[in-house]
Amino acid sequence: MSQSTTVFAACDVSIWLDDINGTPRDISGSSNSVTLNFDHEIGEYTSFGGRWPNRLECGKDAAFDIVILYSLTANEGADIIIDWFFTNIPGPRTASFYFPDKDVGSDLFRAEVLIEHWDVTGGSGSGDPVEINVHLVPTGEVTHTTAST
Amino acid sequence: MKAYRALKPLDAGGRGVVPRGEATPLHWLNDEQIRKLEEVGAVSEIHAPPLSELPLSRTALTKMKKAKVDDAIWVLMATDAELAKKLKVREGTAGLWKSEVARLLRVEPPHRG
Repeated sequence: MSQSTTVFAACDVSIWLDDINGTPRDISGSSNSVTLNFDHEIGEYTSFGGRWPNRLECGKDAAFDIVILYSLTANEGADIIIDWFFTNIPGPRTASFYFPDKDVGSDLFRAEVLIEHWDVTGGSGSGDPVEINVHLVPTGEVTHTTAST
Repeated sequence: MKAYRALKPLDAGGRGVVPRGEATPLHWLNDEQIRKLEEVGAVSEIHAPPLSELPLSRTALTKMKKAKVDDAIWVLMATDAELAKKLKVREGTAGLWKSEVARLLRVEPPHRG
């Protein structure tokens, strides 16, 4: 059995999000967790005489959760997210997620996304950094390519 | 001249996306970066026979022989205008012949089960 030699950790995952001017910004240095959720709509049916269900496949969907470190510097994750949300009509922006890093050969997931939810919680007795949990949903197709630049 | 077949869709930044199956010169990458793409199964080098070995039309083969064009990869990577100038034919004709070369060299990418 051959053993994989390309397994990786998430240390160098690269996350890019457009700023208000449509310029992609690297927010990896101001975030520390990302979850990409993918769903496939599956319907099922059975018919008389059948014992096992049949299934039909149709739409796909995704959602992206990012944990951002709350900082005050312009064009870091928090600044982009908060500015975006408080724009009168936030609109879609491009989000790109590179695994395991932004080098050639990495997996790249990219989509136009809308900001659906974000929350921030602070505890008076905690020394932990304040984090912003962001939930993004794509509008249109999510693409999966291999980074070649 | 080298060319590569995209076995996965490639994000080429400002150059857009190279779709699966399409030939690309990858001229913006260095050897090490191309090797990385080969390692992850994203591209494979296209090894093409001489044009004279391809079942092209007699007219096309004659024109190419006359212009001393025998590198299928060069034909594949040339623009229609470059090819037309070299072969002394109209751009539309050059484009058709290039498409035919591309069709003859194309193989289906491996199925990812």
